[in-house]
Amino acid sequence: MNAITSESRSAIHKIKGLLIIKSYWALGFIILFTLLMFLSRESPQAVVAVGIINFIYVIGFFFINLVSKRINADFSESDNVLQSLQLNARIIKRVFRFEYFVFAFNTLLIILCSMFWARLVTGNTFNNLLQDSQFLTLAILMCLILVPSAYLFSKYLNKKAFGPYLDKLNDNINKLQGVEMIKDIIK
Amino acid sequence: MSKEDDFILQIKANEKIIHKVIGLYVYHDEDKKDLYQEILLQAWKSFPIFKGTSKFSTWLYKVSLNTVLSFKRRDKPVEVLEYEFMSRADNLEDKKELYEVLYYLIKQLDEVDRMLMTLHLDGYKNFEISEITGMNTNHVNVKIHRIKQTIVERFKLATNGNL
Repeated sequence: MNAITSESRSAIHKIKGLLIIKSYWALGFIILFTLLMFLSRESPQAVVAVGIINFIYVIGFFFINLVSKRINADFSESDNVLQSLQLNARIIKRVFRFEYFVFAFNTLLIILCSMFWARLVTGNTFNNLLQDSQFLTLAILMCLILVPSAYLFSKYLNKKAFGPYLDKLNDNINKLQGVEMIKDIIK
Repeated sequence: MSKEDDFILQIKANEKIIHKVIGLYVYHDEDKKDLYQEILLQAWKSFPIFKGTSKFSTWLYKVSLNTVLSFKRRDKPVEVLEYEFMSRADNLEDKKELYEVLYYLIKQLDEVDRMLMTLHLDGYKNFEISEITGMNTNHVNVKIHRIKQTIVERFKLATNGNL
């Protein structure tokens, strides 16, 4: 009966664990950005720029942890197999959508932070940069290319890790719902 | 009796349900161990909200099936099983062998059909199977009928008509 004190190895638990790992990545970025703020202390505008992004990461860290804690696929007595599988599928899809958003948003923040910071520490000001069409064009281009790429890359990683599992789960849900029977009839 | 003692007693009395479900769905030894632990853990986590409106065995069946079907497992091909079966299929005499053949044929079904057939063979009525699985009762009726036909056909094929 050691099992009742062990950790779950279900897919939902694994996904929760991965989410917590991602929150620690956010913590890593917070440390990095705090260091950047210290290194660029001679340039107040650079400190403000990095500070704003650092603040967003701090909120992100707590928010990811909150989302992870709220994931609950515990089995209720009244649930049947179909309802439980549907709940699992819903939770996984919701978490994955959240992850794609976080990954893309994270990429956007890093692009903006690094581009602005690199120019602000060399004596430029926000006003100069916002009037520099070359700089703005480059920033927008980088965002347009890298943010969707990050979103798609995140989708690809999850599909690689959980694709067959989710396909099987959805297949079983369809069978329990009788979707295949309807398809047989209308063929 | 403490909650833990009550739980352990109930599990010990119904443990074969867990092993049966695991045996039907899982081939990999590591997965079997993982799933056994996982089913116990899920049952334990849900035990406080088990109010006894259904039998413990029925509830444990639900937990086991739900855990197995939502577990991310490694799959092992069944070619070895098929070879072992085919070499013995012509010479089926005793009930134990027939049971093994039936068990093998059930394992060839897809996951949902396996669940239905197992519950049916364990004596659950179709409306009870409907409650456990969440399937519509008519759907259960039709599926079980079709699964039985499939099993009979495959059995005939495997034993060259010896049924």
